[in-house]
Amino acid sequence: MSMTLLQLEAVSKSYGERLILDRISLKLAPGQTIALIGSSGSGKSTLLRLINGLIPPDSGRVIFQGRALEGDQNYDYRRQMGYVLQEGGLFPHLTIEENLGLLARDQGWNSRAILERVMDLIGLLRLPNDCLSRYPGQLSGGQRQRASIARALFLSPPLLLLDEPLGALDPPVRRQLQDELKELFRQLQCGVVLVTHDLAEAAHFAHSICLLEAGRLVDQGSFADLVERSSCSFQAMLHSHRALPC
Amino acid sequence: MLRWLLLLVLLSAGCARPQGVQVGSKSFTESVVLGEILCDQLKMRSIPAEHRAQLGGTRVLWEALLAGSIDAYPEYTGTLTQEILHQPQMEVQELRKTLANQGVGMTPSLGFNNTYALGMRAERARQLGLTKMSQLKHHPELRFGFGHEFLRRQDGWPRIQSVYSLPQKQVAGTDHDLAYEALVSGQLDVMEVYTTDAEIEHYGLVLLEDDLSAFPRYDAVVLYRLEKQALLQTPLEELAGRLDRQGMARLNQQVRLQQRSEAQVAAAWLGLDQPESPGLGTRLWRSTGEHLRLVGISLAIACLIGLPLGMLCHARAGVARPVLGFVGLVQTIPSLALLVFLLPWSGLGPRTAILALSLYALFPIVQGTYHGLQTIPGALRESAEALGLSAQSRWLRVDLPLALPAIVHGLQTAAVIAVGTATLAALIGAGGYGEPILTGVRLARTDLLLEGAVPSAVMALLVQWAFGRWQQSLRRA
Repeated sequence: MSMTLLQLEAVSKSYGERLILDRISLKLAPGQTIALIGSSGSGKSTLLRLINGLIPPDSGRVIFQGRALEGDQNYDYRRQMGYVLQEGGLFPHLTIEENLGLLARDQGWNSRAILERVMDLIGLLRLPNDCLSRYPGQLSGGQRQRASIARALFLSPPLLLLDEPLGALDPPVRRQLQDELKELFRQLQCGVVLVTHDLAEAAHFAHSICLLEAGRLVDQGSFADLVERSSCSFQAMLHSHRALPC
Repeated sequence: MLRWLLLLVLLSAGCARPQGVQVGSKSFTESVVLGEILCDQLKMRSIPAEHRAQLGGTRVLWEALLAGSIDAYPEYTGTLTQEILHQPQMEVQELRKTLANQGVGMTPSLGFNNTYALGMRAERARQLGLTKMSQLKHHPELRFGFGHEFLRRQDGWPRIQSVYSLPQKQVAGTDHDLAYEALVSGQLDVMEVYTTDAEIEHYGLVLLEDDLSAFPRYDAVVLYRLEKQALLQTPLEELAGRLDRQGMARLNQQVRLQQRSEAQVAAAWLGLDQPESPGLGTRLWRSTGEHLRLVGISLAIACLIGLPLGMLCHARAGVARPVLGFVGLVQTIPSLALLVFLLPWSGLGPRTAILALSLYALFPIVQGTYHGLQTIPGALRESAEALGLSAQSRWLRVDLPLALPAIVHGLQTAAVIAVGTATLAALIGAGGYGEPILTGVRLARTDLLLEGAVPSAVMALLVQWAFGRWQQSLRRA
């Protein structure tokens, strides 16, 4: 069995004249976390969409579990990846329970199985039981993010795609969730691609950090590697962050 | 929402189909009384008949007769020659032949000529010794008051002014009903009347003889479809010559001034048992049912067409502008014009009304659906897609529910418009709250006006409230 969960081979994408991603290649092993970090407009969210098959690459290949992504009707493919947006992307007209079970219901699970899985997940993400019958608008920001991560984990996907999942949270809530999630990812042994613009967060989660600059992958490695290499790009990134971890 | 649609469609199942000979009448008392008489007469000869009362004006009735929506209706020879055939000089024989070519039969005169005449207070006429119109030219001091239409019509004031060389300078344009008041109180000396007006006898007026035959003849006749000649000719012709001018005026008076129903007056004249007129509760129950059906069915149809159209507008960018433009344009057609326009295709009755109401309901529904879908936040769309929901699930569980508040808002607007506009449906015999309103206008009776206007307003408010509640329940998040 291949030890690569996800592989990008020289993937490029442009919108009209504008080159968004320029020959990006990277690999992710199961249970590992990659952080994509860069300023806004560096192409990190686009890269995430591309991995999820929401948009096709202009050239290059996205290979997930040994299978190259083709076409644009990739529902099966997407169900193997949990996806969490910055604002969570929970549907405001559905209760938390309905939001969590939406995909499983679509897959024909019976309601008993759905409920069992829902209860597992709210335990795992430390959500109170009474939030199940509430609507997303009635939860706190932290609870909403926990719920959307629970939804992303519903079908036990081998890969999680997180687009600034903690970006909208207050610092204390954020720090607590960071610790919990790191532990959770370790327990579940799923691969994670995390988009963030926060170097501290990237350092906290990721085995490997990818530095993106104007669509190009300019530096990659563990936080320690990056510090040691201290490339120009990394220096620039450091300057833009006053607070460092540790 | 599907449940609501089903309910509306079920309601439509109760929509009655016309049975027996369809007798029509225009929107004024005399025509309605005659319609009742025709109906009763047919029933007395064991021919099942139904009266589609106060359907509107000449054009509506004539088109309905040609289209077969009705089988017979009372008409006047003058109206046929002047307004329908535009040949004022046509003789009766020729008229009969021309009508026959169009498949229409005509009975001999019912016995009265309902034309224009000039009326005066009896006392004033006696004082001046006036009995004929030709004598008027010797009294230039007389004050005339005429309806606006009479002042303009070629066979009205311009004609008598030239035929009788009338010198009068004081000629006021006024409302017909107000003119009676002015005449009785002495502010006017001479006004035009219809020879069978109920007020003539009531106020004791005298009519001046049209001794130079300036006014065209408006002999009352019955028109019927020749394809039903075998059935209709004999019983209808039995009525010929039986109703003179004073008789007709008395019948009009009984309805207009004594507030008896047309059905009662007609039955009494034919010597039949007088029908019980239904009580207020029964009438309200019936008109509410009819009104609800009109509104419900047309909304259901508008939904069936409007929702997919709105979705199409959303899915295909190029389609939105022309489609919304078109349904918006339909909205601007005056309702009465649309009803008359649809008449030749879909005939009299609820069908045409429902068609028109559906067309009016389209715009808010299409726009609501389109707007609702367009304004779903991009992040939610992306979230649904990224989850891996199938296209069908995305549509049913995410897009539609998120667009629903805007769709319901569109439905609310459509429903309130429909409740209001449906009152016009009575003009083409579709029933509903418009019927008492129409009768109220015709007879100048406030109680009847209110009998239609108040429940219609209440229904509009209820509909607004109910859809408002629905919207509220959708705005949980």
